[in-house]
Amino acid sequence: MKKVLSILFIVALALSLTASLAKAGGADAASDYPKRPVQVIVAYKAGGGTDVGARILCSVAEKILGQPLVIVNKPGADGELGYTELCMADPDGYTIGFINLPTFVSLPLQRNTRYKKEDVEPILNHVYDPGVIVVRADSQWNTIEEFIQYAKDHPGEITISNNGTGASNHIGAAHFATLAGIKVTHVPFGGSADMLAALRGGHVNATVAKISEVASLAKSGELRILASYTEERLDGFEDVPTLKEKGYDVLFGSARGLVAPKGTPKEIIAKLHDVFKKAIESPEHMEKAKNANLPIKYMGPEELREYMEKEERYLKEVVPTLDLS
Amino acid sequence: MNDVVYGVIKALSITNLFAAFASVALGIIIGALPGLTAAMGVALLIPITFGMSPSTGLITLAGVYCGAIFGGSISAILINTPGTPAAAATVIEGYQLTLKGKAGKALGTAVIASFIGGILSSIPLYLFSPPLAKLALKFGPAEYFWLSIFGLTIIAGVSSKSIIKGLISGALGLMLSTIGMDPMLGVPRFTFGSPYLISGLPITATLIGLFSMSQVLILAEEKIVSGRKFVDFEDKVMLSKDEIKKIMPTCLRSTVIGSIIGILPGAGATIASFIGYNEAKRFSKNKDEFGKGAIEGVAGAEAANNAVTGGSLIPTLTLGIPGESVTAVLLGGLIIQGLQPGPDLFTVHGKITYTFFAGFIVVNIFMLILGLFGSKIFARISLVPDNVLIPLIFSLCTVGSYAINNQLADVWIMFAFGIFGYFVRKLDLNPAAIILALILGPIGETGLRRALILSHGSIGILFSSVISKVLILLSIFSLFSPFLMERMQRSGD
Repeated sequence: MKKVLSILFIVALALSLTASLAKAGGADAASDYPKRPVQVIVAYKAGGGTDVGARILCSVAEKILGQPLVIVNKPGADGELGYTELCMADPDGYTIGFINLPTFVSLPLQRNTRYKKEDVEPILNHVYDPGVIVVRADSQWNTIEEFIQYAKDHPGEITISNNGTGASNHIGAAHFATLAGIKVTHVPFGGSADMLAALRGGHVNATVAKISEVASLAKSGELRILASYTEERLDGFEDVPTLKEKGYDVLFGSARGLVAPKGTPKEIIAKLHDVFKKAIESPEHMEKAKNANLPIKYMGPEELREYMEKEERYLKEVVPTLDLS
Repeated sequence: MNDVVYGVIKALSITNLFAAFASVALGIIIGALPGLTAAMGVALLIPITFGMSPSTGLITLAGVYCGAIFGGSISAILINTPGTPAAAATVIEGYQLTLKGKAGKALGTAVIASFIGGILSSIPLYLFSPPLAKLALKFGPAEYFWLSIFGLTIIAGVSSKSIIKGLISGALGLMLSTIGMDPMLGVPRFTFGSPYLISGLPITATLIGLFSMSQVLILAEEKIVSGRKFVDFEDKVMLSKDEIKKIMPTCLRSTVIGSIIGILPGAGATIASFIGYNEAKRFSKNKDEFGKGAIEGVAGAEAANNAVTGGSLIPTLTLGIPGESVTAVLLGGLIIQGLQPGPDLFTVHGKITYTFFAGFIVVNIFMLILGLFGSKIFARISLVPDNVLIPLIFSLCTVGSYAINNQLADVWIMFAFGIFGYFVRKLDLNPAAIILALILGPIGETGLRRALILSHGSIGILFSSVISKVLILLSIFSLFSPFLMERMQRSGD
């Protein structure tokens, strides 16, 4: 009995010691950061696209950082709940999180959110997933020109599924339709999985998706990519034209970046940036990202900030001119 | 074929057997605790499986999944609170059996039915995954609309006491399902400006409140007013030959129902178990027993919800479209392991996939063994005095509803529905019908509105496909069969 008691006492002592150490770490500033695990907020469900990307990057980065990166899923309200929590967290470097663009900047424009896009400090960008227009491989349209011509001859007849009214794919589809001068019918679905299932089941004629979602389906010959919303032709899809080269000046895609709450010390941001940049460039991460179909695109903090501004201007200026119905 | 044999051998390796055993045990515990659900169990384990080999990781996730779906029935039967949403239909007959002192028998039925449902659902998974997945894609907006209508006809079946009160409950559930973002227009409805309601009422927190927290309130009231009367307790778990014979047709029917519902993306174990229960009642020779503790009812619900496990893996693996919320989480686990769903899983990654399938069968066998041995012990929970049980369920409800999304708001919603659920029960309304309507409401609403957008407003689209027509006939049959059968019986006398 005595033995048990003394063991218990030692355990309790050890626990209280580590607790006090952790406290001391929190009080100290940037110099010996990080002294304890860093919490990473993901504003979407465990197992979703954002979550998978975050886990892959963090599993590599925590080895370089020397402290565990603990992913905390805070799903709800299209990410608004998690974003709010991230923006309101203590800016001590022990809470960081992933944001999705354009969602992070579009939510405050659509409704009264409790966060602003200025409430975060960009660290770096991780993923950029460009948009594409896809149809089924057995559809009558082989090229984007044929598609546009058909839509002109049959206004409103072509149905395009998207991942929710006002969501990124809807805006991408509407912008293309406006530039091409065609009238299509947008059909909102609950998310990108449902939106794609509707195309694959033949319930809609086309969909605007992100390349990572359709790359393997296009390669296996089930779907056909008509065009991409990119500056240059996509790697691995060199014969797919860009909308830009066809004369429709529209770029669109979704980005996922890492940010910290506003007010996080500069040195900590710099340290996190270096760690995550190194992680992104490591062969281990690149290999894992390739297997998970993640299109990686590094952007530094300034570039990411600029990108956010650009997305916001686009949503404020161009989107109101589009026919979203 | 080589991959299949390799898979069986690999699944029987010490590591994988241990992973299967441990994860089933953990799953049963997670499922049995009110508030901790199967989806949460899988989500909690994903980071751990990250470090395992792909096949071991996937078997671990399957173990938690299957274990939790069965485990949910334990608390449903013993303390009238479903451990997971999928066990909501098990409560109806299961708790009545406990009140009669037959908790052990109810648990035994649940284990055996879960095992049959789970193991048989591996047959379509093994043999027909790709073609079945193609078929599932044929389910478009119009078909989902009719599926939800068919589901709603079950309300008549689950409200044995009063059809009117069942309908009122269903209507309440449908009304509650309109809370949240309008799925077509993206405009918030009845959210009172709160971001916490934009995604709609969180189903699990609502369910925990409606069933578990309200049970706490009712138990507490009974304790204060009357003190609980103890029932004679009989801890026999194993079913007799006659009883097995009695539940066998129900188990097989529910397995088919569960597999089909599982394959359809978006319709999950909760809907399947309600349909399984309802059909068990419809085709039973002993209708009088239903509502008073029928083991066929327990078997109908449990075989169906475990058959969903195999079924919903089919579209998850072949299409990358999860059959229900748990496989949605599991899908992430798959991708993290570097496995992209699609035809490649059966060719390039065939070794891993077939190890996973064989592991799925092993998991179900462990579930049977652990369940049968454990049930004797679990059954004693019904002997735990109320002054221990009440605070225990209370804290589990609180912890569980917080842990789903790490949101305190969910806890408040849970409490609100606990109080609402208390009055629901006092007024003899039907919490099961409310939950059923809450889940089916959005499926029906989005199905109808999407179908009408697709057809540019013409309602012809609702009656155009064969699947729609079958579902319409099933709904009509389901609605009128009680009257018809009663009539036939009368004219027979």
